[in-house]
Amino acid sequence: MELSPLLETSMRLAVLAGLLAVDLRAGWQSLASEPLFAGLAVGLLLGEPQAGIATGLFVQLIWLSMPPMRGAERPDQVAGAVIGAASSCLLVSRTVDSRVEFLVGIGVVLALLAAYVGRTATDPLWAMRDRYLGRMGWEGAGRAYLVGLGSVFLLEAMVVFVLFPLFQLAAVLAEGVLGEVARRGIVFWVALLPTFGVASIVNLFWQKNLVRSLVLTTFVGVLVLWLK
Amino acid sequence: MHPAGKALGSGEISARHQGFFNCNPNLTPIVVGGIVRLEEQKLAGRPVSEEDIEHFKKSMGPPLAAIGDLFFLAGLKPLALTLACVFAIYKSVSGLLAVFLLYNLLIVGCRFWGLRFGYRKGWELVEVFSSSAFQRALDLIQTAAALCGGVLAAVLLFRYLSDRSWGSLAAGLLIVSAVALLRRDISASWYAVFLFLLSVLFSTLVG
Repeated sequence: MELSPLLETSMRLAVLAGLLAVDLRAGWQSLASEPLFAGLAVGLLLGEPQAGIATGLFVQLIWLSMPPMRGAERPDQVAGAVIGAASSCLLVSRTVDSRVEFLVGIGVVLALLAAYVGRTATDPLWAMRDRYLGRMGWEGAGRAYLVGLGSVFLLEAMVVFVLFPLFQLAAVLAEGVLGEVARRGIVFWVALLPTFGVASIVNLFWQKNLVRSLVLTTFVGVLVLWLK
Repeated sequence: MHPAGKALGSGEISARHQGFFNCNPNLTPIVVGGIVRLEEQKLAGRPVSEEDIEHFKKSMGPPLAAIGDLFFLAGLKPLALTLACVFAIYKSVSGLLAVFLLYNLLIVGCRFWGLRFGYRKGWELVEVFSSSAFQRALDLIQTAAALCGGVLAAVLLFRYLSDRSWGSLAAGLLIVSAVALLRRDISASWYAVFLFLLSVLFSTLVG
């Protein structure tokens, strides 16, 4: 039996997303689940590493100001990064449009939307899972850990498996429907995305002693680049 | 605690430590090391009770969780991610992989070191984490992250500064407005999606 290419890609991405979610929520907490590295992993998986890195980079710059602490409410970063980067990679590999910025732009906006859709759709399921684990009690801690680990993998894999084909369809439609003028608008938007990185950095280090170091290196950095 | 309980020849130890415990995963080994030390002393007949060990665990968990969040999530992780972004801008896959490896090596090192350190110090851990030396280390990592953030900001800003067009003006306005919104806890994602729609609409209307 031969699987359709989209179904096969969805399954591969679902497994990758499940593993990244385990790393983020129940495992090592390496940087693998951050959008930049998730984008690289997706890019390598789909044979378009540069498109994956570019999408991951822009999403990372936007989310840099949201460290997972102080009760921060974060979107589903794994689903967003995987779906966004995969959309970009597939568009880049299939289209004749040479403007990668436009295709990456579509991937970035889909990543931002997928992250929120993923989180909203799975919030009740996470709550159900937490209640179930709570009922298992501390006597069965080892079994509860395994169930917790498995459910993290399955939930994230399911989100990506269900959402990716829908978002991929939206990406293909957008790529086909948008006219030349709208494409120029998206390229302009992508050119402005690094400003979110600067704003995120300023917000992240918004403390009297840290802002001084930040401003100093920014000034020296710009000067060095200018002289170069 | 299960391997430690087995090594000490007491199955009851791991059973006693299966309750709720909240801490940063990178600093948890420090507490585990301290508990193993105290359990060892208790088995050796020293004046350490089960309540003392429980008190040690409860008094070390929350402060180490806060310290770990500041050190790793507000210091080391932003430092690694900003460095990784700089490498990504210059399309260096090897640079990205180097950052990934270094970050994980530091985490592995910290977890192994923490277990040994906690075991060596036992009760003295409380004094170590309230000392000024530890506060200085915390300041150092956050300053390093801010310095690295400055490098990334310079790389990102340079292209706008060198391009003297309306795009630079738009970028400047966008930075100021985005910082203002982020300071009010308004999501950067929604602001970016809003600007996406605005860009498409504006370009379609203006042509």
